[in-house]
Amino acid sequence: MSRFRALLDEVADQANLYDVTDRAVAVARRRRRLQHAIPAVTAAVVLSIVAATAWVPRHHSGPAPATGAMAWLPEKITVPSQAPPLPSTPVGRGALIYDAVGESTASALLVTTTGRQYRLSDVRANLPFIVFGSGSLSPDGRWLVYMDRSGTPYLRNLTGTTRRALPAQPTGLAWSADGHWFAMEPGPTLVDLRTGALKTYHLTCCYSTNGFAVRDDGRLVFTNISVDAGTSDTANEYDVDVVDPAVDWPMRRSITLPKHSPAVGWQVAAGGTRLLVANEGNLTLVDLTTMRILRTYQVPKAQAASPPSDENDTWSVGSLVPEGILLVHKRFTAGVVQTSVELLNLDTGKRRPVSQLPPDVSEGPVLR
Amino acid sequence: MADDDGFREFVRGRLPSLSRVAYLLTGDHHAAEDLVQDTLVKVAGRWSRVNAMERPDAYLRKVMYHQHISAWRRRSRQVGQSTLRPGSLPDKAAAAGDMAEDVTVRVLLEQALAKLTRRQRAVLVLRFFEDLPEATAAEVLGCSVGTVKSQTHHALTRLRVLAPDLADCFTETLEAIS
Repeated sequence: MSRFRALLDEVADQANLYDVTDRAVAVARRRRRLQHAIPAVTAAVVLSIVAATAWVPRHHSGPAPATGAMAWLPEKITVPSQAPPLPSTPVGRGALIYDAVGESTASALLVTTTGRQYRLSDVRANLPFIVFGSGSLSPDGRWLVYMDRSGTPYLRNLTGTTRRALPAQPTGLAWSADGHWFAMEPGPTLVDLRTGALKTYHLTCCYSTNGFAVRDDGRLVFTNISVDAGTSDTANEYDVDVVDPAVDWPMRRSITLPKHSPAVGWQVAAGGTRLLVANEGNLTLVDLTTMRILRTYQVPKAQAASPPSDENDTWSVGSLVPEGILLVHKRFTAGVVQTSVELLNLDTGKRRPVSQLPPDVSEGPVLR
Repeated sequence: MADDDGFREFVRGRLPSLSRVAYLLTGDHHAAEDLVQDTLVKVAGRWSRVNAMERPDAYLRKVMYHQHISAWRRRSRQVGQSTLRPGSLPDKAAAAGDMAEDVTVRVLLEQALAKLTRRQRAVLVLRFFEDLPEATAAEVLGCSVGTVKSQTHHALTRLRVLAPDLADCFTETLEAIS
């Protein structure tokens, strides 16, 4: 046995026995019941009414505008020698969040549209391991979800002073495209960003493993792969559930997408009207209001030298913005990671760099 | 019900190894438990189909690795407390003997693993903990063999930078696979 294997064994020995079989069976059973339940006549009536209205697009979801200047995204970002902590006063809209590994700390840094940077959290050298997310920005850059050093998650208005603690650590979160709603799992919890009203629901009908979004009207969108690479060689089938959390009864539609290559990522655009499926070598954009494929874009596959060398390029989806699809390009060179953000034009399918990040960004960046 | 019993029976024997892999992938007990639960929920929901598969174990493994890499939690990560530099093994460990040194070495590895990307970490667990060949690891992760090769190479190279005290161990592994 190699020494590395022996070391991995030692780490694995620290594991507990996570016996969650009963919980898993209970959840799966509940979902099966819901799927197979024959609705009562009244429920059927309600369902048909919902069916008649649920998929009527409330807003025009036409093609995105042609690529414009990404004015809100600084062209080049460098790690400041000392970034101040995020103050309680207004700092302006956010552009992205990235993680910088420094000499003695690892910090999540918020970059605003003006290029200013603020430290969101840091980890002291004598603390045990802490799990925290880098955060999330609303599509308009106005709202931020982040965790402070104690691990408490906050929702913060960057253009004002409002800050409120969230009821739980988010395991999934979403913003409506119009900036009206913030939604998070578990629960889900829905926050009306215009009034500050927060309400936690306990949905039994839906869950998400491959995409969670909130529409402008407050309905939630859950996307799951129902038939995936493990059971089909030619296509992936996606279930899309749209649910009013107060009703707890989903409208489900499905779409089958050709499996050009293994699926490596999924993302539902803010607002929940578009789904982006990333395969090795291509991106498929789906309109979730019509359940039609809008277009498939070619993107470079992970370029690995063979035999492996010290250089390698990978691309992943950053976010869907009105200007196009933001891709995160990572170039690995001798253990150092160069990260840049590229914009894929929805009309031409061409990519162009829009922002250069500092070397050794450990994860992300998280783009609005 | 019979389905559930079959599923429970299937999981019972595999839970210890699932738990170990989940902990290796996440480095955190809560996250590992979540990962195991998410995986089991997904498999339980399709148990009749999974049970009919030729290799349900392979499907279970695939679901777990995909869950680990693709969920929102990919934005979260574990952060080591300090940057690891050459000679950073605490003096106390040497003084306290082999056991303390073993613990220190393990912690160094955990800290370094926490700074890898999720995919790199998954590749290492598949290749060197589960002892899977490159082709099988590629199948599990849904990528090409070339990607597995390069991710393995980069992960080990990065570990060598992140944990210089264990550099020999990673160099030895790199040499063994090249």
